[in-house]
Amino acid sequence: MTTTTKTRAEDLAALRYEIEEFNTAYADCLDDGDLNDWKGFFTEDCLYKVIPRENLEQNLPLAVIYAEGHGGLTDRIVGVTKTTVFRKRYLRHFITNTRIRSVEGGEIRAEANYQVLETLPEEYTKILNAGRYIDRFMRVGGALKLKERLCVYDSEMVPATIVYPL
Amino acid sequence: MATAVQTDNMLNLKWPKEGPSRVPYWVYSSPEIYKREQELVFGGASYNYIGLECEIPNPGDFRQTKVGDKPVIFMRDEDGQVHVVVNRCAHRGVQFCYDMHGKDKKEFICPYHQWTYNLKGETTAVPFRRGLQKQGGMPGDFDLKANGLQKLKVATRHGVIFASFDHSMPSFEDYIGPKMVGWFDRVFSGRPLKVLGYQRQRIRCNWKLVFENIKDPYHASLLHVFLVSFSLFRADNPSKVQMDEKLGLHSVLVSQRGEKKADDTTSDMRQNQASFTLANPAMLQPEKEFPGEATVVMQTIWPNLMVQQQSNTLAMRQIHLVGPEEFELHWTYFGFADESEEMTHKRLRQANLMGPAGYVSADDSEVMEAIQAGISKYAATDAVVEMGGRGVEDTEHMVTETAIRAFYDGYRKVMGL
Repeated sequence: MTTTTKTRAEDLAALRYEIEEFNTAYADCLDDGDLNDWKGFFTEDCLYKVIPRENLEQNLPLAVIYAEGHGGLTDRIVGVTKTTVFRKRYLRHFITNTRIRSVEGGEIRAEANYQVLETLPEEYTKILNAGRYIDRFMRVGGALKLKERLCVYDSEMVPATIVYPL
Repeated sequence: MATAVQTDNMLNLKWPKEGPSRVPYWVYSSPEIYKREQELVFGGASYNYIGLECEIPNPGDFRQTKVGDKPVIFMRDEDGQVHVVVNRCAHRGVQFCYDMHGKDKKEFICPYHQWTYNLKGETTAVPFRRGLQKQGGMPGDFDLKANGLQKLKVATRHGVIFASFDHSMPSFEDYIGPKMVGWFDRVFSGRPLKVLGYQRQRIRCNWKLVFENIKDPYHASLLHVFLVSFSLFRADNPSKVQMDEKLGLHSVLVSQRGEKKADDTTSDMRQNQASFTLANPAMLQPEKEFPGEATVVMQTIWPNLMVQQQSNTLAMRQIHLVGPEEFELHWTYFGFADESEEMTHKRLRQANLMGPAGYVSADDSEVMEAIQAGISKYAATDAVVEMGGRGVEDTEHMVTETAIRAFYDGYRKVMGL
């Protein structure tokens, strides 16, 4: 996006820094924190999807994870931790190249690249998933919250299982 | 004298004397078996699922997929006919088609020497065929017709495409038999389909483990806590298991949703979650859409397709092979072209149950890799498959492994084991 004044550039730099801080805290929550806090990064009526790039490009609506609102995010965490059988694993998020696409009417559209590494017992660390977040942020009580996060992954192929959110 | 740990080389691939109530672990890891499967199963007298006609609605549309481990292209020609060809140039073997899908294609041109193919897989041009300045060129008797792409025999039924390397195959309907045609037509009645999207995952285990997973209702009522917690699949729900009339390689598991409750059935479960409720119940509000009482019909069509109908999630689960101990599962979710937006939305929400991140399917991909880890080094050991007896007959309940036994009974005949 284009900027014309120094002030505007400073505002954007500050906003980009704020989003980077947000994503750092988001990654910390999923990698080393309490999964129950994950929904706190979203607005009550949010939409969260993990979607293969090929579906997005072909205008096909199917996601791999599709969660609506805090209820949907809670169900994902409870569903995974209480009903799903899986091997213990560690995730490590790397979120970079933050770019602000637009700031309009209280909504900030931004994107960032993400890479999530996964480590299973007795195995080398592997790339579980890589792609970009396509985000719509709002401010709630001054703090940034995600109204929508699409995790669009590049590889058509997923290694076996995606257990935790990306 | 037998040692405790044997490799398949020492075993001579001889099936255990108990018959179908035992499955020797070498079928899941032997490179020799894998090679034989490419020839006799995927390359032999079978119809492999290829795709849906609605994925290539117009002339010039094409997509890539695989039959076993072999890349093929399915496409629609100018006359509306569907063709399936091997993605291998007739000249020097180049995998000439790079795009996974596309449209408005007039011809395929191999990049190496620009041999050109039409939408029927016929060779239409060979550069310098007549030579250049009276030098070179193909021999005078070179026959374009005899040097086209390798084609598969195509069969379609109600919008679903199958193909076989064996051109002497009977009709698709003869191949799966009348019982299986009935269940197939329940979902595929001829009502136009629409694709909702794809999911693809690579799983480190032998491909047969996923095929028989869909033939195993015993695990579904125990492993899948989510399904049982919401009574989407329970051992005490009215159910049946049926096989096709010929080899027993095709089958269906049929069940119907019950009441959400905790009792004897769930008390055998490791981790009953009958008290588990959804914070967003909209995720799971199934609506009846097919005739009859069944709410789940999982149909396996030998050798590479599982048709999933669980509540309103409809998907083709297609097996692609990678090696003896690795395969890919390609999911094509679909609905009907004329359905309401609300119904499509239900399907998209319920898709949370399935796929690589599914509340239910993630259990399977995790357990299947754990099976491979458990059996890979023990080729001489056998699986015990005796739930519900040792026979291979249809049943009216779920507490059985009859469809797995029927499957291996048929598999042995196909493979000459």
